[in-house]
Amino acid sequence: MISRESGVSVVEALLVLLLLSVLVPGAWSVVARHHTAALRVAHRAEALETVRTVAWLLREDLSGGLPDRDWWMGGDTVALRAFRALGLVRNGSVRGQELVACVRGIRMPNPEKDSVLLLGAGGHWRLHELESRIRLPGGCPEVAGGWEERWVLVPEPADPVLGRIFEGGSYHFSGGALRYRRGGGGRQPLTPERVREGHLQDREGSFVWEMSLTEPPGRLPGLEWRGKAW
Amino acid sequence: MVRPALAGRDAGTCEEGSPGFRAEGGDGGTGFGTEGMALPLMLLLLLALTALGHGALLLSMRELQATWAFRHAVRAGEAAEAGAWLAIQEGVAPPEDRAPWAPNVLVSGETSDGVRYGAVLRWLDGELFLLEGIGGSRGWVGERRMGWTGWSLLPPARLGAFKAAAEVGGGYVLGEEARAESGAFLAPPDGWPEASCSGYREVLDSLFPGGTLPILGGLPDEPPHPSEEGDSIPPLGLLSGSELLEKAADAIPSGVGFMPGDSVRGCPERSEPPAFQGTSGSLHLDGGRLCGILVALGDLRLTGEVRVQGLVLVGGDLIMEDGAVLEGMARVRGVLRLGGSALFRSSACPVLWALENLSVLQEPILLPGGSRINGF
Repeated sequence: MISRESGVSVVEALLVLLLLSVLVPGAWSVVARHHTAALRVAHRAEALETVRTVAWLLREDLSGGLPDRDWWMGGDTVALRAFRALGLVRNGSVRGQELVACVRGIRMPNPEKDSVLLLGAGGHWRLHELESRIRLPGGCPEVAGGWEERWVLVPEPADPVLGRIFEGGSYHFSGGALRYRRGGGGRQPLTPERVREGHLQDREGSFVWEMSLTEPPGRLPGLEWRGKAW
Repeated sequence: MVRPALAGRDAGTCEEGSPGFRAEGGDGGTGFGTEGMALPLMLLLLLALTALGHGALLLSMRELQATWAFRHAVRAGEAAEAGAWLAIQEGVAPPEDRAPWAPNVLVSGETSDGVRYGAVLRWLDGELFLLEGIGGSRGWVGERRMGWTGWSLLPPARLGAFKAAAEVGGGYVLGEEARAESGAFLAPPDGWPEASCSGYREVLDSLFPGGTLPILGGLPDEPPHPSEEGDSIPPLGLLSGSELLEKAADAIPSGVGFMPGDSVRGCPERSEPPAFQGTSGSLHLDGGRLCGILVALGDLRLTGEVRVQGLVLVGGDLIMEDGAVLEGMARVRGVLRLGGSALFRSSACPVLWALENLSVLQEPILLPGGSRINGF
């Protein structure tokens, strides 16, 4: 009995060691692969997020304007009027430099950085500076989600019917990300830094962007993406 | 390796299964520890795998959600664009009630795969409008809007835009026996039944409170729209000369007249719709009577007993000789020459009548030089 137990203990120990020697490297390998896969998923998620963000922002901001009037290329940078809100000018509200508009947009107008493109009754767009604005009490029942504002513009508006609020900005690729620069301000990265190479180009009136993204861990190639607006 | 259990048995102090054996073995013998480490180690590894798997799953789910949200937003954006273009391409008539800002639904629908689309038109003033394409996607609470600005001719507004009955870009020459009159500006022209103009009396009175308009003036100095570049025909609102020529029902060849001397075209006493004719060259009319709108890219020459009642838009010179009569209004890029016993009588009614009854002129157009409006 004793001798059988003694032998069993040694066998158990050896078996344990054997199992451990097999399981630990196996488990380690599984964990390592899993870790790589997780990193790859994370990388791919960031890459796809980059693709989506670039495609969305550039298309949204550039398709809302006209080439050479609202956006233009400067080297590998595209400068643009980034439209942020729309204002329907209330009929008969123009008093000198002031007018009342029913506004709807993705953010509030800001006189520090915004200008206005006004559509006159003659069908022409004219540029004005937004000197100041006041939100008026009450809303705009005619326009769902709209709010009423009084704008002071320079120069005096003539016979406006519609205003488009915009800020001056520019997009370019640098430091592995698409960056936006408002006026002469700083350059904010808009995407994860996953862009290995990116180009913005004006090709015969069409705005084209191309980018290749960094390779994920493992042997997968990086994404290539090309988009077009206009 | 010496296990305490074995040592105990060697000393003969413990029996198998005795509490002492278990206690001794369990109290820190390395053999127990070796066996016991396998399970925690495996558990640790499984925990690590679970954590990694969970993280990857969360990332994948987040990515999936982002992809779906992006897909919905793109679908909604395309639907908004499609809604607006559907309204334009199908030629949905803009509402006649041009109350500013009131939302007028032109198009609305949903596809079998859950894409909602629509188009809403808001008048900004009497003629300019904002066309909003609205899109959504089933399973997504958001809504996307894309806008375009457009224009549709409003007859009283166009008539009211005239600063003179004959707006001339290159001056005028009046012969000794020729006449230019403005006395019966609001009255019906010769041969027109009184009822043809009585319906416009109120509008005309509000447009021209003094009952008249200067007979001669210059062309409006508005900067040309992109579609008007190189177009010598004076525009009618935002309708350029080339668009007017395209819309003219009957394109007529340039050269000498297309109307026999006794023919009558488009006049109200015959219950005909107004004539709307244009030529991409110069035109010479030597007889007949035409009521409506006449557009010529080159010179328009009226001679003999020809009588035109309505609006004349000329890219070159307007030359009237002999007993030619023009009752209505004119826009002339070149020179207005009245010779012989020709008569130019300013008259608002035939112009308003023609503009009101030519629905082709009121078809909505998108603003030249405009762009998609988004972000609102």
